[in-house]
Amino acid sequence: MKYPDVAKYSDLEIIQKILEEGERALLEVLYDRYATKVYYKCLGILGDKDIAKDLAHDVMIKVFLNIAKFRGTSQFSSWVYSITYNQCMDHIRKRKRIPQESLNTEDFQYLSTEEIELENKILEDLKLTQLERLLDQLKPDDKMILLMRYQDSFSTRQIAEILSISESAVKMRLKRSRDKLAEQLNELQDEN
Amino acid sequence: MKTKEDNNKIRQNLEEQFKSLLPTEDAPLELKEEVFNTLDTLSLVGDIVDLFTTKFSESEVAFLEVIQAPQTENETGDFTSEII
Repeated sequence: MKYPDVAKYSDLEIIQKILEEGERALLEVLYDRYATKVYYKCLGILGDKDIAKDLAHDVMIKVFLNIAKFRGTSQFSSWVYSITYNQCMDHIRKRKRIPQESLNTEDFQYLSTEEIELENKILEDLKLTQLERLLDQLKPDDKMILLMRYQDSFSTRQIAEILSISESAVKMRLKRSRDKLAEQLNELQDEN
Repeated sequence: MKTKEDNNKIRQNLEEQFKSLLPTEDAPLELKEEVFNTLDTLSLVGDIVDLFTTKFSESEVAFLEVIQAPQTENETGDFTSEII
């Protein structure tokens, strides 16, 4: 094997070798590291295995075709996931023809303290088993923004860049998505 | 009123829960084959495009040079072998 210690290579080292040597086997290493995560992100957001597979396919192709554009200023995983979210967002927009929402940032600034406290109290008690169930009930765009923020730890600025919206719009959407999650958790707890 | 510490705790809890959602199974096996087949196809298309653009032009130039070469030789060279 040409690269016996390939498992020890960082993503950046692998990319450099791909660019220098054009070694296809190294693309497969990157594929093995990321394809499953990409597929499950798509599946988590869109909830359909066939669509998730198609989107994961397109994401991996985009990643490989644009790999020379990766500058290494952020983590490779963040770059891959931002392509994934973009792809999912494009799919959602095409499917639903969602118009760009006009988000009133003033609404966000004047949210009541009581409202924020209630939401926080509910989310504080969130358990993993509940989260999986609740996420299934959320709309894809709500799921996506929550995953970006809490699973991938993207900053509001990064999310804003991926979704091509302002940072205040991201905060508003995050707030709205958390609200929905809290609302559903509340309903779930009432049922039990 | 929630303090900053409380909010961080909630955020930490959310992050922990969301990160625990990471997949435990692999993506469909056929996905890998499809991705690399697509890459091969794109590479082939690239080669064909390259053939009919860059390489074709280069070949034309080379071909013209070959055609023109004997004329140059005829102007300055020896005709004996051709006459015979």
